[in-house]
Amino acid sequence: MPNLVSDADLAAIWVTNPDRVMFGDDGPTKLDLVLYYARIGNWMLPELINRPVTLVRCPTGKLADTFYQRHANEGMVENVLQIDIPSNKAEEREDYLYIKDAKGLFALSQFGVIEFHPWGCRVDKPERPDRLILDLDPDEGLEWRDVVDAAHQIRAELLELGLAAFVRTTGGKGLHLVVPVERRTGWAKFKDFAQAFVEALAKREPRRYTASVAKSARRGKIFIDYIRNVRGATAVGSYSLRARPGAPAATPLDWNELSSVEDPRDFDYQTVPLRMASLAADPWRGMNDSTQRITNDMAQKLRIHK
Amino acid sequence: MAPRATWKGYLKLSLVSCPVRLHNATTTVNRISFNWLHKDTHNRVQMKPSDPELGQVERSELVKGYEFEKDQYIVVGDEDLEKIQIESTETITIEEFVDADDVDPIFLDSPYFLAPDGPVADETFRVIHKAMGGKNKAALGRVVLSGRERRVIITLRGNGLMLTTLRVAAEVRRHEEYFSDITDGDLDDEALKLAELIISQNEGAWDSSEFEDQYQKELLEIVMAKIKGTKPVITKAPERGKVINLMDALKQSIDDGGLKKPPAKSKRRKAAPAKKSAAAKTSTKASEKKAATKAA
Repeated sequence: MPNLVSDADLAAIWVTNPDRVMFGDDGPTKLDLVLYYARIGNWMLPELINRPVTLVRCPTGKLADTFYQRHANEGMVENVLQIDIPSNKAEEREDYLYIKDAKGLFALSQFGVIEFHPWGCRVDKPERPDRLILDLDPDEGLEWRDVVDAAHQIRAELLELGLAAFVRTTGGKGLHLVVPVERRTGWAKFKDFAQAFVEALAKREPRRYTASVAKSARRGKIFIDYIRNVRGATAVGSYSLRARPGAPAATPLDWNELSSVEDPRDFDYQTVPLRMASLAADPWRGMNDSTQRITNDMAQKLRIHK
Repeated sequence: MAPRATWKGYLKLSLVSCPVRLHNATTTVNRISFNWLHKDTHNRVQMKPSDPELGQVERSELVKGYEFEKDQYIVVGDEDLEKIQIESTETITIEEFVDADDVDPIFLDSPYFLAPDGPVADETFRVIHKAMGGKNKAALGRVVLSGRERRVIITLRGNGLMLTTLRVAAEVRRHEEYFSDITDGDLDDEALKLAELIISQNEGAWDSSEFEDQYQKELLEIVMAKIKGTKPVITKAPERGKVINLMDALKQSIDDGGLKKPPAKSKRRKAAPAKKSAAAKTSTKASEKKAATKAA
């Protein structure tokens, strides 16, 4: 795999307040988190660079002070770029942030950024999404096993349509299925497809899945969130840490590994660099070579299911 | 609590004197000023004086020279200047009162607010204020500011007074020579009436809140947009607290065996998934090295 992190990238970063304890007692220090990104950068960058990104910052280390940031503020760090994308609202345009290299990633982690939530599109063609995301969000009563089983089933459903999906943990109890597609459709069709897929699934297995955001509709079920595929929506990115106790990481997995995971929160700022060091291959190998696309044929099939 | 005064002393009118303070009435702090940086390094350049023979010299080595003929200088030292420095008398002496309407605005230089200094001064100050207002008078006087005696004029300003330093006659040009080409023949009545009509139609009330420096405003917008959009060009090295270089920290953590297996998790956690992976046989040390190579 290409080397995206150089000594110069690392040497350019000075970590301030390295001993600050993050997320409460026994939490990692700020240096631990910046070091995590230094170690994981080579794995993380391919799915992060050149995409508009929403940041979750926690500059003080207190969870209560965590906030989202979509646009540059005064004092935004070096090596973070901006792209002018028309906002969903009326005619206003907004500058969204993105990074293009390791320097940007490290500068942001030093800047107090904990989470990276990229868009499903790249800055050169922001109107053509290339990552369809289904976010499996289980109701509280459900077991991790239920989510794993659901992921396998949904993977099979997608394969039947002709789409290969990749899986990652989210740092919580959910899972993401990520479907790489060629950049052919616009956001509206992209989201319609995701919605039709999820609604068809929820219709066939109403006791297991729901496509509805409403809490009441989700009791005992897995909410499959297709709204991540609306233009401007984001989902936590691969290898991003989460601003939560224990600093878990959203971790890409090989489908073969999924069933042997006992608790997705075991993937965290300490274990993931170790895991990557011992892996023989990228769990998401093939992601970038994917040439699949959403076809009218697929959409047709979904309508029939309805 | 009043802001810090630029000058404190007494306003003296014949035998009456009243403790007063002066404050600058105008400010330039809202103006944007620039520093000079080098175009590539973005370092702030140092403006060091340079002598054609000696090269760079210290500011303390400089003396003042007056060029009385081309390339002919006479040195005027601080000791010379001290001789003519006037000792501050800490007094604004009022010499006469003139009609406020007669004050020629071309002589007005820098305005200051003149306020009573302390409660004891209050009544005297108000008496002077009221008497001047009743007669619509402005006071001409003298005061020593920064070692120089200045002519000043004192006028009413709200319930306080305004002191304005005056230019000396030699600093003010006479207008006659600039207007000498203007004739004084008869004017067309119609044209005059029209001009008067236009004036009366465009009458407005004096509203200084509308006075703004459009150039400064736009400059500020440019500067703010740059600050917001990019980061400021200057990255001052962080000064406070402990700071660690990321590369050093990464090397250090490897030397310390930084990629150790984490301590056993609480009961909730059973085993780290890393242990399950096929390559878990690899020793911890080896994994560290590999991780380091990858990260580096």
